[in-house]
Amino acid sequence: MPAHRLAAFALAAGALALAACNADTAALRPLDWQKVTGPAQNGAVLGLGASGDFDEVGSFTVHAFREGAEVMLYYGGSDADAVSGCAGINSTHWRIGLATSSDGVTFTRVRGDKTGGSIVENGDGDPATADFDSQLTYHPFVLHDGALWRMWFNGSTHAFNCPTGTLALDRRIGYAESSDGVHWTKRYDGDGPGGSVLPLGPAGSIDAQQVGYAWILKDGAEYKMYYSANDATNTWRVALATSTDGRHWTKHPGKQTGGAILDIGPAGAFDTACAYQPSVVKERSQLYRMWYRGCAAPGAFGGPSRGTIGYAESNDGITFVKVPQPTPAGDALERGPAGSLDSGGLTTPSVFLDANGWNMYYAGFDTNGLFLVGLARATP
Amino acid sequence: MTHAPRRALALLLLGAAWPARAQTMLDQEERLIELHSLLVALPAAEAPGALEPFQASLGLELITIPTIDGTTGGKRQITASDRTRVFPRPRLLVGLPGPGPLRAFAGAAYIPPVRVNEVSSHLGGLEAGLAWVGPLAAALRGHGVYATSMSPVTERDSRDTLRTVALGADLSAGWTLPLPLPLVGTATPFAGLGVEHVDGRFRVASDGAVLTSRKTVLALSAGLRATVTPHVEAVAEWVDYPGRLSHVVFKLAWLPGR
Repeated sequence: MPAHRLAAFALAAGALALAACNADTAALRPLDWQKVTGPAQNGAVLGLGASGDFDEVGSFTVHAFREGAEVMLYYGGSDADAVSGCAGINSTHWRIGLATSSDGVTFTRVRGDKTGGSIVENGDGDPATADFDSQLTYHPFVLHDGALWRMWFNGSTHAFNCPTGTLALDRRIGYAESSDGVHWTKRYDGDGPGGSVLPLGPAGSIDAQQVGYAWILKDGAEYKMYYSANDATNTWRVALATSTDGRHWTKHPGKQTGGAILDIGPAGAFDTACAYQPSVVKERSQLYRMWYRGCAAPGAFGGPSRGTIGYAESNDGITFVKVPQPTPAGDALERGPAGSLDSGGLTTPSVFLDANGWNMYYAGFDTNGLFLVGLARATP
Repeated sequence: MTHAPRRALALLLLGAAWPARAQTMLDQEERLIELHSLLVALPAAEAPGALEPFQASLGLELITIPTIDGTTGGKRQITASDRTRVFPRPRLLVGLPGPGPLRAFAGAAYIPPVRVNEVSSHLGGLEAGLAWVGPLAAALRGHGVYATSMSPVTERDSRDTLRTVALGADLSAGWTLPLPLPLVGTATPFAGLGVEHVDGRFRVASDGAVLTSRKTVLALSAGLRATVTPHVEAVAEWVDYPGRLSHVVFKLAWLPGR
């Protein structure tokens, strides 16, 4: 074979070999969430309470998890005790209730011994005391921690939005303990205002105005509190505090705006106006999944509005990166069609993984402002 | 059709129809660590039993890098292929007497920590094995690499670190053909099958966050060794880690004192 033919053969072989080179990177395949139609109004899994109950006007701000054979659903409920002409849940008292289910879809309320069948009352029960949660006591997060049941919740002295345009801007995080998950004793001995759990940040910080919507992860010997931080412009982000005893917390600044661990998105994103209400699952080592509420625009009087569910991931539970999801907007769960329980928006995702797959409970509201509890599921 | 083949067919069809498992950003990050660890693993780059006892081969290996997509979640990391499409690695291989009819061999690879194009890699590798030489030669080889590499990955101005341990074993066979050509004395096609275990530890410089990935994968290879002159050998080897990485390594080596 002549030398030039040999060289040509070698070149051709080399080109063929190089063409066979490739590196198969892993394609992103997000969880495929499917909404589950429940037995309650508008397809909710938990509807309204009976007339006169603490949750007869709305049920929302959920935390759900599996406890043995049952799914425990703690939630906030709105009574009908309006103090003015403000509609729906805007002027009412909010308290905390519990419902349980064996299939995760059909729930039975556990009637508590507090007002209207709630299990956690506003304030300390003494109307003469000006507690930080005298008007709103809601968004429970419950951790069955050994023999102790711990609950963190939102509290406010102000109605949600009444008179109209006057938003509650004094949300704090409260703490209660229980030995059975039903009967709770509040502790007003935290490091925050009025004995709440978490101090506010200094002026100009991302949590200078309000803190709330806590999600606690017991990660080894450390408790991680993912909380929602609200600045003076009423913008909500996610921040982190850690603790060794679950009672006293140290803020752990993240790498994003003002020390947030999850910031609002850029202009045009589904979460450009708010990114908060985190639900964090440590699926395995190096894999922390976060679902959160994102808002595309502020409400008429500032603060969040409407809302869909976004998704972020982290390797260490501290630095989170938003991961685009398959919807056109890049969120994980969108609003439903007209007439559905979440046609107006979605709030407070609460996610857990069990033997059947992923479960996301959330509060949905329709275009009339009716808040009910919805469910979506996904296979791993 | 008996029950057993039917069951196997049903399982096969079920597997084909089964929805793919959700993959996370972590899966993408771990895969990037695996890919970069497999790139520095030590392929044979030599035909089995090619070196006689006390014969040395001192060569330079050129490792090609296919395009690696650095997308993880909503972010794009800087990968090796963004820097270069080929990197060199000095290789030394020595033939040794073996027990009975067998030949032994041992080798080393080393990359000094010289910074080139924002990348500083420090790599050491060792290999050893036994070969049976006949009309059809065969070799069993074990090898290991320890490497650290510093480069901007997560940000343009960061110095992130990937530490890799790659351990593997393979079995290869080759057949030497004497060729009556003016430039090529012999040509030895060879092929191999083995396993590679990679343990990568990636550290983000900005916050000290660490991500690890450990994986054991199948390794396939096929190559051609040609002795260009009695003192020069050229090797081209295609190395495939199925489902992860396929690339080609070239080696040009000097065979002194033959």
